[in-house]
Amino acid sequence: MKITADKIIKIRKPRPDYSVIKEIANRFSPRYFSEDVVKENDINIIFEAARFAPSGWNFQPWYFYWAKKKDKSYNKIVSCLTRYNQFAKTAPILIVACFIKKYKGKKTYYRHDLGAAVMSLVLQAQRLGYYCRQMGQFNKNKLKKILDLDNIHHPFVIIALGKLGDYKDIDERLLKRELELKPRKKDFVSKLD
Amino acid sequence: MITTDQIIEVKKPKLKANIINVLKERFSPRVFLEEKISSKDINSIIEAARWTPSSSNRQPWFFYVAEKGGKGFEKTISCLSENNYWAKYASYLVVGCYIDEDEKGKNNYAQYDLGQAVMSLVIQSQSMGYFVHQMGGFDKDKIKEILTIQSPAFPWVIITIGKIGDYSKADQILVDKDNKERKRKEIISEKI
Repeated sequence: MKITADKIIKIRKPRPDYSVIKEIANRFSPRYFSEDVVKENDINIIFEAARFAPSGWNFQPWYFYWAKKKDKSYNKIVSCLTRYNQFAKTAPILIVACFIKKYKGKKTYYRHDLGAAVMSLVLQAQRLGYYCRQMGQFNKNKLKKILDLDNIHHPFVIIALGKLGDYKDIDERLLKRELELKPRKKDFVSKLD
Repeated sequence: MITTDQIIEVKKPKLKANIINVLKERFSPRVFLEEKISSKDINSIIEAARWTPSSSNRQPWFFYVAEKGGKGFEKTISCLSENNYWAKYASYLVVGCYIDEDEKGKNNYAQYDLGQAVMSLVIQSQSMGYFVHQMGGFDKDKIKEILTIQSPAFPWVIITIGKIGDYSKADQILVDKDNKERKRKEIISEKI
């Protein structure tokens, strides 16, 4: 069977039981991206979405570094990823999402709030026709060092961003992982009396 | 006297780029309309959280949902800090918990993934005309006890959901708090 992006979309698309907005209903995290360049203006829109995320006491404990494919820094980011995540090399953009633990001496809701900011970014990207895949497995100390990140910025996820690839030349092992379904639990909510 | 429309105007963000409407319109109000939310709408709001991405698809979140008028709602309200008293006017309360341990072991991404799930819920709510306000200020030990929330689930945020209320009839203290623009840091990203 020849695999195409359309087939992947059909397999990987969420199957919601109740109606949700199309950015959520279409979102999934692919491992195969198109080489198409991401427009600079689209990148601005995507970060603007993150900027207006809510946060505890409005501390906004997030910061993002990003690199384009062929930039030196892009390769540095790739060098910190595990072997399992080397697929990220097909993405035209890599983003390093960092949290900031303290603001004005007060502890922030840093992990939770970074999650909210990244989710805004992901759904905004989805609206613009891009896909994201987030990765938590990478050498954080090495990344801090080789990118010379500000001391207060703790890298927590690397986000691969781009248009969906055509899957023509995808390696068979990677394809196998791409075809895995990601079912969702149903027992994650309890209605109180 | 200030109207709800004026508050909405004040809350319009000063944007550098054109983001989707739900994110433009979103803010966290303290004045809600006492109006029932249909179960169909609540189902969609919770479903949005369900389809959030998570590290290794562990979905490390759990939500307690309480409708106004019920005992669970009163119990949840009793755990909020005093300055969050306005939450009792919201139609729904959701207690968002993270689960930082499962059959795969410890999960360092539990809080982060809960944050993503809640943001999905927020965006879905906003798309349906509801507003959401998250609160971290509540007695976590007390809520664990009265809702019998068992480890490894840990209550992390209480979320109000409802239609925006009438600011012309709201407490002045709430109006003053909400009559402020959405301030943000200018720079949150850089190209390297």
